[in-house]
Amino acid sequence: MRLTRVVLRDFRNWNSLQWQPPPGPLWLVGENGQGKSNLLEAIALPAQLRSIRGATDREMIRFGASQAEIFLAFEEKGEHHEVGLRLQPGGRQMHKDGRPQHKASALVGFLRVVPFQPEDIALVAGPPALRRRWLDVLLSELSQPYLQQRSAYEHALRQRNALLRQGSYKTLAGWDEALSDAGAAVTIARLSVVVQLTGLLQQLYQMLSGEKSQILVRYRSSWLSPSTVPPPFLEARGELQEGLRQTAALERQREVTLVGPQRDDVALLVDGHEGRRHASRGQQRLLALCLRLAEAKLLAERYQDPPILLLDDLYSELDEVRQRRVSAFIQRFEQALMTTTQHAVAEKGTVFFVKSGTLHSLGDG
Amino acid sequence: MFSYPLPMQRVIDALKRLPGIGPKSAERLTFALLRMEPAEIEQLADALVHLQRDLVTCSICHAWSQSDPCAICTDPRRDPHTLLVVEEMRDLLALERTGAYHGKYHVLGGVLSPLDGVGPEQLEVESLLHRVQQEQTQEVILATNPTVEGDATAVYLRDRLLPLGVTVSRLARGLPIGGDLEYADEVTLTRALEGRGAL
Ligand SMILES: Nc1ncnc2c1ncn2[C@@H]1O[C@H](COP(=O)(O)OP(=O)(O)O)[C@@H](O)[C@H]1O
Ligand SMILES: [Mg+2]
Ligand SMILES: [Zn+2]
Repeated sequence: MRLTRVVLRDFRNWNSLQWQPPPGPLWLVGENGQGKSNLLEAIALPAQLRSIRGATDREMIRFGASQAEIFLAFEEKGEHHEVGLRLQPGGRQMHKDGRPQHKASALVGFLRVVPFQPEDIALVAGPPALRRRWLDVLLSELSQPYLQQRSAYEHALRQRNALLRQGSYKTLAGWDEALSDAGAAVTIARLSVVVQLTGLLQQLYQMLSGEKSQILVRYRSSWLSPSTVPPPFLEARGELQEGLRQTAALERQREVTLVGPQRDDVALLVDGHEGRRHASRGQQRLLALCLRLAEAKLLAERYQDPPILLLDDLYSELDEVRQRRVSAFIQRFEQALMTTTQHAVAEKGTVFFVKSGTLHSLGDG
Repeated sequence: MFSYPLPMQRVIDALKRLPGIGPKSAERLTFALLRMEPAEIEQLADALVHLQRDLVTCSICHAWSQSDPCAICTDPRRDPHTLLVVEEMRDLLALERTGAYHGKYHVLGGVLSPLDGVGPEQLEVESLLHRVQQEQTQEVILATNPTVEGDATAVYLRDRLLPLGVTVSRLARGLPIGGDLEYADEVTLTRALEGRGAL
């Protein structure tokens, strides 16, 4: 898919923008603090429904303005679509192809973008909870049932933990069943994606780095027997129930559920060593980019259509050889928006200049 | 500071206590009431007073009714061997509208929800167990909603009912129309298989 029109009003330092981006690689060139990242943040918002920089709605409304508006038109397999989002103190207003939407879930999977930011290095170098969350967001975009099962699981978990705090266990068996049903489904979905990711990451990392490193994504769970393929549903549910039985005494003491997908980890191994601790900074950064590109490939397969790449400050830490390999790979996507402070790296693609919340093309002088 | 005249404030405060009605809607409704014809208002007030005065909960099935026991519990044509358990009376009415069920009912009055402080004691569980032992019940059909709470409640009731020697079944939950069978849908599929019926 590709964006055909971007309209912003009072979003961060973008007072008013009307832009018709062309297909292919697009470069947003400008000095620091001009609004390049803000523009990518705005485009990602109607797709992911939360700020890729973790900002609140209030922070994204332009200083002094009372509301912000984002309107995006895009083309998918020759069809035209629109999505609109208004941020205001009373809450958000959403539109999908001109019709108002009240549930955020109605927009999941509609416009699909894959963002990459320098901070994404934390996906490799940071704590396991970040990788688990990343996997959850990706799965929600890949599958509606996952979104439902995960919220059912979280709901059952909150109820069960409330029961443990109250210290009354009469109805515990009922919650165990609700919990293990949804918990097994969530875990199986995660495992099937981890299997696909391992292959993709290995391929991407070797191609972009030129190294022969072995990359392994490992799902670590305290209650599920390790396996390289996702187990059948009844088996996973049985193991989760067994895990609950084994921790029964301890969880009553601690007053909280101690096993389940909320405690599972995702580890990244580089040549058998934990990437978080042992990989170099350069390796970590490239690996984080590979995670995002793998995400893009999975989305492209699932929807038979490539997502839009939003790559912020991508080349700042890559050497020239890797820059060239990445840029060759990106050519395969219908559209990619990339930011840089150095005009010189902006090769192969259309260049736009960003200056204090305004956009200019080369011809504008 | 300006505040509403007392008669208005009283209505606003009363309406705010209703589920799904916040301060804004309560104000809007109060202004709408003010614009109504006096006769209409009297009818409404009268209906509200009689709502509770003329209704009782059936001491057998716990549905709202004008008589105790209710019309269903006293109907001799109803099959006394099956008992269908619902969360609320509106579920009972929905099932009655299908015309497909001819047994008796039991209204739980909610579902288990530790977060809201609802345990078995807050629901009509003991009276259900008592009925099953006293009446000629052979099958209990659990028709709680297919939510996390509904499921947990059904499992809890199943565990209490089975030792009494009755058959316990759960209202079959099929596949949602248009739902796709991928990734996390194993739960739905497994349940659809477990709850499948003969054709
Ligand atoms: N809510 C806001 N209203 C107006 N300006 C904002 C708002 N939030 C951030 N900014 C401004 O945006 C600029 C940073 O833009 P950013 O997109 O991060 O720059 P860069 O081009 O380096 O990526 C800063 O000058 C900051 O003051
Ligand atoms: Mg920036
Ligand atoms: Zn009755």
